[in-house]
Amino acid sequence: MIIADILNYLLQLGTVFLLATEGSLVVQRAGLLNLGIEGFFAMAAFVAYLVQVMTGNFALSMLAAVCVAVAMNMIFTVLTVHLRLNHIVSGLAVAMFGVGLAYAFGRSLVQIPVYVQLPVLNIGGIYIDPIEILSFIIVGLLWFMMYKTKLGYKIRIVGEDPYVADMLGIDITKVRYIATLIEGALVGMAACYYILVSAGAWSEGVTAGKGWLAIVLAMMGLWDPLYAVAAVYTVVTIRDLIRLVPGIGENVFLLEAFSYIIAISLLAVVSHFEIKKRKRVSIPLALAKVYSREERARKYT
Amino acid sequence: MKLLELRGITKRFAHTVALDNVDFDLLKGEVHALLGENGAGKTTLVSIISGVYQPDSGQILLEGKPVTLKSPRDAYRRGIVLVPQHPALPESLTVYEALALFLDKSPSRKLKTFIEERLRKFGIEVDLDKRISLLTPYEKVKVEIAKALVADAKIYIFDEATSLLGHGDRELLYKIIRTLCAEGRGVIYITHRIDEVFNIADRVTVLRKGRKVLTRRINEVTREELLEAMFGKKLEEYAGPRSASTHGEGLAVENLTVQDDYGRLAVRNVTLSVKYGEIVTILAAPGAGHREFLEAIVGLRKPVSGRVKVNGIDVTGRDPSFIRRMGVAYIPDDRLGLGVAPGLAVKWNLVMRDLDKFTTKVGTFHKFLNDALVKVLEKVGLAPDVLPVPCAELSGGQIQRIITARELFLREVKVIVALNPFYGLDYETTSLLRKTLIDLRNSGCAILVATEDIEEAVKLGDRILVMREGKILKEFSGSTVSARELAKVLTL
Amino acid sequence: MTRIRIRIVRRERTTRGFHLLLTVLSLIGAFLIAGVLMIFLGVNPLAFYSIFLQSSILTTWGLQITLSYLVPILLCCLSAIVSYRAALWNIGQEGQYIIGAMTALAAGAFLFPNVPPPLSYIILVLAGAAGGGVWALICGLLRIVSEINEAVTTLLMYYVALQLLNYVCRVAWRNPAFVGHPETYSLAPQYMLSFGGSLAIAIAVLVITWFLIDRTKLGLELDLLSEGFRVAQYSGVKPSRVILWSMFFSGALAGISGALYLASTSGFLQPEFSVGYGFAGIIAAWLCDLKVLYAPLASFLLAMMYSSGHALQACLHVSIDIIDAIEGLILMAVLTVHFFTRYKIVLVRQ
Ligand SMILES: Nc1ncnc2c1ncn2[C@@H]1O[C@H](COP(=O)(O)OP(=O)(O)OP(=O)(O)O)[C@@H](O)[C@H]1O
Ligand SMILES: [Mg+2]
Repeated sequence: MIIADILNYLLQLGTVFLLATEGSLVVQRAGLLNLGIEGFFAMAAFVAYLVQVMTGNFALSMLAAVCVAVAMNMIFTVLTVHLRLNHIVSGLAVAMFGVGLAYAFGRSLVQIPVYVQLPVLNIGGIYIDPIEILSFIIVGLLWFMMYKTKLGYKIRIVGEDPYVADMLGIDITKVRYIATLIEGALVGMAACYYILVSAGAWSEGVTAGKGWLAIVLAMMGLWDPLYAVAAVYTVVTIRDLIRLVPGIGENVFLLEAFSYIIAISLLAVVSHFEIKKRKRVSIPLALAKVYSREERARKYT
Repeated sequence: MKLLELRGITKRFAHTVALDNVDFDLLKGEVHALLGENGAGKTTLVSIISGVYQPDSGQILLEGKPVTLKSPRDAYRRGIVLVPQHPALPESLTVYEALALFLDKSPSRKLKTFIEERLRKFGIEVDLDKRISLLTPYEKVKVEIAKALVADAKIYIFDEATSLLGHGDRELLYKIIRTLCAEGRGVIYITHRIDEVFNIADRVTVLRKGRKVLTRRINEVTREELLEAMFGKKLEEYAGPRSASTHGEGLAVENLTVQDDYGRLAVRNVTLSVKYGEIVTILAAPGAGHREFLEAIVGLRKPVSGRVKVNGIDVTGRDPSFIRRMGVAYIPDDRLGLGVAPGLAVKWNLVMRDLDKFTTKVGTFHKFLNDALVKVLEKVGLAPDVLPVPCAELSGGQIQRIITARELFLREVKVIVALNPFYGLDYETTSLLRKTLIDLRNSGCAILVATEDIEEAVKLGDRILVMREGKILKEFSGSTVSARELAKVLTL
Repeated sequence: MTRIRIRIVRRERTTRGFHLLLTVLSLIGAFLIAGVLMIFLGVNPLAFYSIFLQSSILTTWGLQITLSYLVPILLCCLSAIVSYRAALWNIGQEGQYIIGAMTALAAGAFLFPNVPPPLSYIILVLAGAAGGGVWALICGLLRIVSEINEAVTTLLMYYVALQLLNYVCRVAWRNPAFVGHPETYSLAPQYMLSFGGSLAIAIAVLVITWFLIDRTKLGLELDLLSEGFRVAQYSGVKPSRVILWSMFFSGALAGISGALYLASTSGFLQPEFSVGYGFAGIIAAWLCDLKVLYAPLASFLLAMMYSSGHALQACLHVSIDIIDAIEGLILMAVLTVHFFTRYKIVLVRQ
């Protein structure tokens, strides 16, 4: 039974990260390095919690979270795509703004727990809820979109070389907006699921670090929707299983440090065999580079 | 009927006025050639027509109606396609996927048959299933042409499409252009080969320093008039004396075998020597292995086997900066990808190959740096105010002058290695570079030039070697061979 | 029919004075925009700015605090500049800062506790530099060996550093004298620095970095690497060598930042030692356009934000989070108007 509990726990946490990671992956593939996720993850989680407390309607909370995440993500897109500003600073500013706002408002709330019980499918003690199923469906859809559809091609080319994309007649602004939209929606879902199903209540620092990790996981998954699943579940498993070891006490920190080192080593090995051979993975070479059609020589910013 | 009309187009960039109140028009079914020296503004003009740049002022009329072309996509939708000067293709896709994306269609069987049909109609051969990252620069040009042809456009623009193409491909392109015109479409054709203009153009416009100086029907203008319009003064062919005396072995290559980027054998067991005081040209079709051969000599590629000696000293497998310090200059043809660091100012591009000469022991730069640089810029006919400009903002010809200045004048060179040094250069820059090379030969340099252009090979070479599939096929003496003879061997 | 379209046009090369004027105007614009937005958040912008200025520069005490924040932020900013100039994306300054402080503590508390002052400071700086440098160097090695993007590894290594910090505070180096709060043993007293001392060292490091990056060929090597491997190789720069030394250099600067902050504040480590100077440094680096000489200005602005936080919280009766949000806003506004120093908007009549 303990094993089933652990699996349930991992699946729940994994779903949160999987959704957020897939979201981040899509924008990164379009060449935007959006460090703002931390900010709108917090805001979306906060809004989901607020709506849930007020209405008790999970679907409504989800919708609100998605809307807020998408809206906040647009700030980032406006700054980087239209104003051609540096991705890293814009992202960090959005992150600061979002986290600050969420916790400033969250402080004034009564922090009642609102665990949402979703209907579940019981498979031998492992409970699978609709969002968990949905997360895997989304992975499949994204994979299909990325490699089999016109939009996917466009996203990849925009992230690889915006100038080339432009010359091919691709509407870079539109593609980047679509990517941000997808990211906002997925991160919003992740945040809502996390706060209502997994954490169950708003508290100081509940969302801390979730967004950052999603960004790194997207990179670890080599920007591929399927590899990302592997990256997410490996890291989540190593990181969170350690906490469950009985009697570990404060050594948990050392082990957790090790878990990241293991993650880095795994990444090194995968990358060694995959990227070097350039088999299937292509990488967003233009990640975090600002594109401006008429300027051939823009190095920094 | 006028397909396209531009009125009073002006375009400024941070450092230059690229176009100054230019008028231009294109009729149905005509080929309108655009001529001008390097940096005259030809690429800028067609970039405006194809939506890449927005004009600062002026009007564009398409079939009589004023339009704004907001982006390349916008221009494409209105029936304008461009074959750009530097191929811009998605490296990670196959040729077919790229074409499909350009047509804004999802890949499907039907589409593929359509594309194949269309290319067959024009007689263009490209491998649709090849990854673009695996293509040579020459193949990329062909893909760009194919890309333009699959679109059903009203106006086709070719920006120096033939610079990298061999003889046969050029003939094919002329045929294609004639077909397009017969169907009532218009073609804008940019080139530096003046003979080409007389071959296919109906009208010709010459730009000079951003201004239009002349538009004429082709049968109302002479070659000399065109040259004078382009460069202002009357130019003279500089041939210089044939080599007077040779002495000593400057560059010796023994049994060199080299791989290309994909691990295939590109150069097989080549032996060659260049004496001081002579120019040896290697004539080769694109992809014949001459690129890899030269790169192996200057240290950019590790040979599989064989030796390279400079002035009798073995430099096989040494790094480029070591070989540079031995007095070897290398002029590459991939200007933006290798020849210069596009994002850096001209100043740094000039010093980058000879850091040892421009820095003290602790690595600080010498104070008199700027004076030295101004002097070499003068030698290639550039003003000192380009020093702080990033190379990416210069035109192709200006970049070539920077490379020449750096490689030939910033250090005492004994051996010069050059790959397609004249490609994309205007008449004036070409003569300047040719004169420079011949002068250096006469003062005792050993020079090895690989080129894909028969004319250049004949004009320059004291000895001419023909290379095919990584081997030297035949050797000719420069003074006795004719271009026709060489063409025969090359296309054998 | 005339239609009017908006076009964004790059400004032509401007004179230095005009650029300065634009920058000042833009900053004023930024504070105005942020002020309007503050009203929506229920904060009085006038009160906000007056407290902001008073608590960060207008009082001696405030200025001192700001300067104490300036040191770590400035060094992390330099660290970011060094790596970004080479187009290496080191975003793990925070981790290198932690490790630098840890190695400095190891040297100053356990290895050489009895070294006399001038030498002790040298040891402090070298230990910090070595720690941070090696931490970043690992990422450089991974980049060369298996081509993993250093942005990923440096960020992951930050997490490793954070966990190690927790571990040494709570277990390995825990000082049993502190009962409640987990804290480590302290540096030996002769390692401790005054604010002035750490500022002096930071300025020295700034000058050295400026000299190396802007006056010697090392800077050019960074630039060439950022232009791509092939050009770098052609111009005699060995890409892997530059990756290694610039990552080490970058990490070392962040490491020194940690060591100095440790020695000029409490002298011991605690889990709260990591407060985000590394990330502030990254922001500063982009604000100053990767120019070493402007780094102090940009870092100072961020230091002001840090130092005024508590005063703002106390005087305006708002939570520290809202201050964070506002500072995020100010940053966005500063960025937005930064845009106007590079571009102008023209209306085109058609
Ligand atoms: N994006 C840009 N930014 C800044 N300057 C530019 C830009 N594009 C072109 N220029 C400048 O405008 C002038 C004209 O350039 P253009 O590329 O149109 O010349 P060209 O006639 O095509 O020359 P070439 O035969 O060498 O290709 C040059 O001086 C060049 O430096
Ligand atoms: Mg051109």
